[in-house]
Amino acid sequence: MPADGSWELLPPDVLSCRPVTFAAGGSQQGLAVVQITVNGRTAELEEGLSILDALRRLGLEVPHLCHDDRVQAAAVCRTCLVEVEGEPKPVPSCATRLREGMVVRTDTPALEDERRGVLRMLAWRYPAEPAHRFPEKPFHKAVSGYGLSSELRGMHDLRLQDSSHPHIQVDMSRCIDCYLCVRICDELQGQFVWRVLGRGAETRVTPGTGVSLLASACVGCGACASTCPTGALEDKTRLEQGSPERWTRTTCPYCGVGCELEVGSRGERVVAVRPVLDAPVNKGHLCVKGRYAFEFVHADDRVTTPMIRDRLGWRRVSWPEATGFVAERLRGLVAQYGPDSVGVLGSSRATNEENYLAQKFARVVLGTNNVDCCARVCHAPTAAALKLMLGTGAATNSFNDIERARTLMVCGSNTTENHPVVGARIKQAALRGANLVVIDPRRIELADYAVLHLQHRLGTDVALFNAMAHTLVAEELVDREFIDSRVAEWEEFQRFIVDWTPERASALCGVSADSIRRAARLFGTAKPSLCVNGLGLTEHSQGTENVMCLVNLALLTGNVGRPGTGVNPMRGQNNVQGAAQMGCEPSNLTGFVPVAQGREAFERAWGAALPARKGLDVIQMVEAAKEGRLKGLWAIGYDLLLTNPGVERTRDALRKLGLLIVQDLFMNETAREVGTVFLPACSSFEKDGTFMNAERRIQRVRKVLEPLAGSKPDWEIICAVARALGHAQGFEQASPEEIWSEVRTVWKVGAGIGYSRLEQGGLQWPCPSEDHPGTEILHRSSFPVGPRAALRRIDFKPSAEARSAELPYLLNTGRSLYQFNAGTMTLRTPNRELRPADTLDLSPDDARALQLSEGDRVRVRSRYGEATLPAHVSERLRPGECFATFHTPTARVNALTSDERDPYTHTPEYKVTAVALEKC
Amino acid sequence: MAEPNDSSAALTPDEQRRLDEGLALVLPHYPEDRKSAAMLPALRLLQSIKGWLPPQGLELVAQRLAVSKERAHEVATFYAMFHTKKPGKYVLDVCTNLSCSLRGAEELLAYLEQKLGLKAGQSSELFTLRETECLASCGTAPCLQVNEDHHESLNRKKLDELLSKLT
Repeated sequence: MPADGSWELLPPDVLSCRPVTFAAGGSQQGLAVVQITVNGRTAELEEGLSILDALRRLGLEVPHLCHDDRVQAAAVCRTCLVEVEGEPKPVPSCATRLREGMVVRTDTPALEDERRGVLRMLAWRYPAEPAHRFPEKPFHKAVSGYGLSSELRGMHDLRLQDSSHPHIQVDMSRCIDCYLCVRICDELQGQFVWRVLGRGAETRVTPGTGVSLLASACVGCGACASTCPTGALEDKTRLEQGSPERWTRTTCPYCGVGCELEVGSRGERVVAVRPVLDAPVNKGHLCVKGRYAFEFVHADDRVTTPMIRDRLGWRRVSWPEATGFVAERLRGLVAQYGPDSVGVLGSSRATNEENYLAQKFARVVLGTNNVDCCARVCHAPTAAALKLMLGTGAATNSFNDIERARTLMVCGSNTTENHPVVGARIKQAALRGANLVVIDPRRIELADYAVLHLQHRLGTDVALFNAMAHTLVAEELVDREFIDSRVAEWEEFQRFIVDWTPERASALCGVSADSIRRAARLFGTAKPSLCVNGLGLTEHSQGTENVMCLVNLALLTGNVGRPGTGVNPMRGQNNVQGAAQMGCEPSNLTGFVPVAQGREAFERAWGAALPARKGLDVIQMVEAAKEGRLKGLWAIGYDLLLTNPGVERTRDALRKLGLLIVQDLFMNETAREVGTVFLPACSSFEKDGTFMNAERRIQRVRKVLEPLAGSKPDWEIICAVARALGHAQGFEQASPEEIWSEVRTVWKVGAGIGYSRLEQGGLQWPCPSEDHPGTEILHRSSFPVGPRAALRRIDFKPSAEARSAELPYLLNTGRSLYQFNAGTMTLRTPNRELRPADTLDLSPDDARALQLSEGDRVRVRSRYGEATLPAHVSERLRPGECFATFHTPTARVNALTSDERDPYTHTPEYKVTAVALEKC
Repeated sequence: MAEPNDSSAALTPDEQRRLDEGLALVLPHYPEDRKSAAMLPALRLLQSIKGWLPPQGLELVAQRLAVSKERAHEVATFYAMFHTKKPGKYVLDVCTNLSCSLRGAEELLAYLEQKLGLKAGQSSELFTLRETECLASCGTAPCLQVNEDHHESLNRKKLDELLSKLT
């Protein structure tokens, strides 16, 4: 304490919760400073802080039960009261802002009496047992701190308990009416589940109008359980397995949003997950997958010994035998059939370090460019379109631009289910008044919050976007200044787009010309406008061109290179951006450098000759296997059989391989049916490394547990196989950090991102040097392709998968909230209770015509295969179009999908398949 | 007591029309994007039509005001004078605050309970009996309210006369 009687400030980031705003930046720079006096000593603090914020900065504690930085102050608990000179009564410190010259007292006997009185009244109706069992809960701490433990006299009321939800236990005998659950559900998630019924002593906080939590609109994000000060709402895992002994900060293993987690473990078990409150991506929020779907780590069927399949079936072997066998077989194939007879698939589930090693292994050790990852079946078209048109194959902007935009256009992305935390941010932005335009063949949840939903026919995006471009040009809503300085081929584009009238597009896409015009006007005038796109644009035969049309709209309106703008793909998996960026791409080396362009530099860096021959992507590898050209494949964390289009075709092709090495946590479907060697990997909770999210942010993955005995991190396995092949050089790294240091030497735009800097938080590339702050917004003044980006003139080509008399419906496929991709992880968690089976969603009209009711079995038949699914009748579908998820191994929805693909990237057309439906 | 699926809980087309006609007069007083502010007049309108606020009616009001049905439910349950369960034909609200208690309100309430065969908070076809907070009639205590009418300076005799009129 300085002698002059002033307070010493704690830095803002030592607070458990920094003031979190979803509004731009959250930076405190440039704010005026006010001088205040607290308990007789002075302090200088930023204007705009609440007294409570200030007290925490001064290291002073006052009790508070209804405050959470993630929601607005409500001042209902009356325990954070302080005296302010000049005020007639004590004021709630959470809801009172600092003023210049304010004189505050926090410690008078009168205040302590008042706080004790409030706590005593709550204690009298509160049961004693939970207070003893969970002393760390804020309310329990306050009660014991004020010496009131002996006055806990409430009763447990069984009628106020609700165990219906698989993740959240409800015991409203312990509710103290702070309304934090109500407010966080409204203000952070936007689900409006928790409601307050009645008043006074009769007040009841309940889901909906009094239904069970499971029957309510709850999406299981767990925000309410994370903020509840008593444990009236509590994670079931904590109740069943005890409170965590330690917390480890890491990054979520699910979607590409990249939420930061704190994983709570007890012994060698994960027992809870909570959000990192000041994480730039999730800002104290999580979804039902990130928060609750972790039990797969402890699933009974985790594989813990390597296995080799022989005539008698799977045989357990030691690690040295397995790596020796793999090495010998790979060496044999390369010697006999040449290096291009083998291929490697990296994994978006694995870290950047591991993907870097996987592609280096393929190129240096095997000598082939046959290396790819699941970006191929996902956002490769977005990466290609952005790379071709602007020069960088990644999101132009950041999630923080969502709150900066006045218009948000969400195209082919069911964000609230597939990227729930970003979905919640978009929803909150719309609730605060941003113009939300949804372009989607299904009436997704976001459409309920949109000013405009263009529900077009499947596969007609090009027509729709072209008509929007036509409107922008025809009604002179384009940004001439931006076009004059930064856009090329404007004249040609104007001539081209004349024909694309909204009326012409309307006939193709089934959306009224008026709606198309309105969408274009909003996008062009209520700026800044930001586009979010999902696989609804990319998994089409015109996937890359769909995204190009979207980029056209952004360029025409100057919505590039500025805050609140851009084209921003919602990357599907935690590290799919990273896997491709690290070089798991047949035609690109680390950093998306084309092989031809970067080969010599990489040969110098790696000290080895690199192949110049064109490599095969995953789709071509499967074809080559079928034709006998590919003999061996190493699939790391990738269940090809379930996720590639055409299960039968994939199986038949893979069966011809002499060697199929599957590296996974579980005996996945690919391994079970056609694998020849199984190498047991460990999960991202059991290793160190980094992931790269959808906004180019690199974040640390930290080891929470030791790898399950017998399993190993992917990087160790790759290095062991390389060594067994006699290629120790270049694969001798002792840690992920060492691998990453090597990545930084070959990937210049990431050179400034070291592990020590990542301890302070994630960094967005480009970040070329240690003193570079990272890049939130790309293309601010020019493009990597040059000063100008060219508009593309793209004509609409209808999908070959057209409706016919025999196949009168179009099938769309995708993911859902509670499950993830092939279900390898989520189906081994309680999420399976929330969504146990894949369904075939169809419109009420079609259901009536087919005499189908909810839950009836439907046989779905395409030109390629068949699947049987329970029907789900939904108003959210267009008549004539149906939708199925592909999560479960039993349903095998990808038996139906076609061979059609995007010509630029070979990304399969998962979104359009002509099918017939029939009641079983 | 009416269950939500009771046929009397449903709004007839005529009742629905009256609700919409009433709302057409109320809503212009509120900004187009602040329709939810008309919640109280809308709920009063519904109660004047149905005599109470059945779930289907609350859902309809919520829809017309562009809010969730849960929000309408929250407001409806907050106010004692809104009935979210079907009340008797006559709602007897007996004040038991200070002035009325000093003038014998508790004895009167006990007398009513015995006479109607209902405990405070219960309903029959004809009556709903409730204990209520101050009715702002302390000068003429004890006081009770029948639906929206005050009956003041009560004693047993006056109560008997009142009840005989109602039955």
